[in-house]
Amino acid sequence: MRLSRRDLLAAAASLGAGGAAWRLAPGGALFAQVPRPTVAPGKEGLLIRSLRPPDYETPVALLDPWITPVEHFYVRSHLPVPPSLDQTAWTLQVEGDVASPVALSLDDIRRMPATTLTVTLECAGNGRAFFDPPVAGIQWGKGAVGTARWTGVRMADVLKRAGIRPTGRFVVMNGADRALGSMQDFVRQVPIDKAMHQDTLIAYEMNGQPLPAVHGFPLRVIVPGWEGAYAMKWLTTLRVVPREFDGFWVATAYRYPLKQIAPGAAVDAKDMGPLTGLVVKSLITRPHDGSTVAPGKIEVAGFAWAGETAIAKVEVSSDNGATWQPARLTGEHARYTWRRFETQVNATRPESVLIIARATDASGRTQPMSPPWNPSGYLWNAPDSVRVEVK
Amino acid sequence: MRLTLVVGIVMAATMLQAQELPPGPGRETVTARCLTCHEADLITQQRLSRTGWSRESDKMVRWGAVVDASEREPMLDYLAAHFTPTPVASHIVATAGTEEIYKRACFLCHEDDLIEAQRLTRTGWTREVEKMIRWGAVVPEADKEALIEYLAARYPPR
Repeated sequence: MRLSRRDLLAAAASLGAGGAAWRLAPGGALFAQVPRPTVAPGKEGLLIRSLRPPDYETPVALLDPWITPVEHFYVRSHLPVPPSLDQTAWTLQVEGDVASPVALSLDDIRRMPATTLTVTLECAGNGRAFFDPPVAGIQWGKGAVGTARWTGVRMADVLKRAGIRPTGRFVVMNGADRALGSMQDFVRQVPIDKAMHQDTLIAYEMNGQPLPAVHGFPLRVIVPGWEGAYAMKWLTTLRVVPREFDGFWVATAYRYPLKQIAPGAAVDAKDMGPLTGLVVKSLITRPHDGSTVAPGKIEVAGFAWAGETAIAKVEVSSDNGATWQPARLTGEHARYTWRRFETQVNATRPESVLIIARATDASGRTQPMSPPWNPSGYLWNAPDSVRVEVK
Repeated sequence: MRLTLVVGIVMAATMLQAQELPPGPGRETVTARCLTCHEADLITQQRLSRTGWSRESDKMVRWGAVVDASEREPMLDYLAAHFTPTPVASHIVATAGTEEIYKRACFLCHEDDLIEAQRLTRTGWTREVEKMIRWGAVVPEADKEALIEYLAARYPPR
């Protein structure tokens, strides 16, 4: 890599800031391969998909509560945690196609009216490991998803402080993370309507605590119902622009074929469009896959979500999908949040049972038997299944 | 059926979790050129064709990785050999004599196409080899484990 000394120091410091265990190898080689720590500090029990940058997946067994505890919440980072997260010097710049650019301190932001929303966040690549043929990227299984209470201010209120000009059509979001080598800075954009929506937040708390460093301290965006990469961490800049940002992370990444394609096929850039809302999906959190249960009624529970759309029903099968029974939708209910489902299935004799859950949302979308293959492995949403041994 | 496939892939992904870069030509290049910015885990979890690896390598070079022209092909050979959609255990391929054991044991009664179409776990291959022995295949006890290893490494589940 062509890295300056400053880059190296920044990257090294960020490893410390992110809490990842690292050490200098003999001879002082900063990035020599070191033994992998088996756990990420503060994130015990999570699966380390990538240690550096930090990408941690939540095992399904830890996803049973409606609100995911911070220590069990998955982590997705494109780049190392920024080395310096000084909240006293932090400013959020609002610039571009605005009447008067502003720079807000954290105190300015905390003095604005606060809103708390419960939102399910899911990485667009959750389930990538299940696509065939395989695609490049973090090989997420089922657990790049979680639900938290996010407290902060409306992005609309922040944008109004600067005054959006009529020509402004998109808001380009940037954070304090710095690209490595000649990689492009991680930048995302949100269309003005979604940016101005009353539920789009700039959050400073997660489950009632200040955001942890790996989750974007001191400020992160929450774009409810849309795939997780819109939730810019370590937010420093909102730039209002008249036309689409043409950088890699908007023009190339997080795009999806506009029409059905053959698995493994290359797709022309003109036939790809940006990902936005999450698709309908379910996750069985009880019983655990591979567990042994006593003959009788098996309690089945889990969550179903569909981005901006409500869940209409969840059906469960215990005969390999031949017949389906409705599950009850229970528990707390909030827009943009996964919905608890519960049911019982009969397993009267010792045998191996595959339990499948299939969700349908209020717009009529149902989980497909075979999610469409796409070049980056996004939006895997086949019906979820667990196998239990009845003994 | 995709649902069972999913379980297999999850297991495979979990096993890859703790894996470091296996030995072989190309390992040093990967260590020097890739691990400055990320760990080996990011590589070992991928399952790509040689074309896929070539594309990833080009992307990383665009992002600042320095790969000399002379290093590129051996590096791609290494990545494509180890982190492929259907992994081949390289240490098995090199074991002397297993190819001969395989041919002696199997080719008397059928061709290799019948074998190559199978995608079995090690347990599955053990079961098949034992069945064939019951059906008359001549596999000396000393060769049995080597034969199972050979088959399991070459024809694993997809």
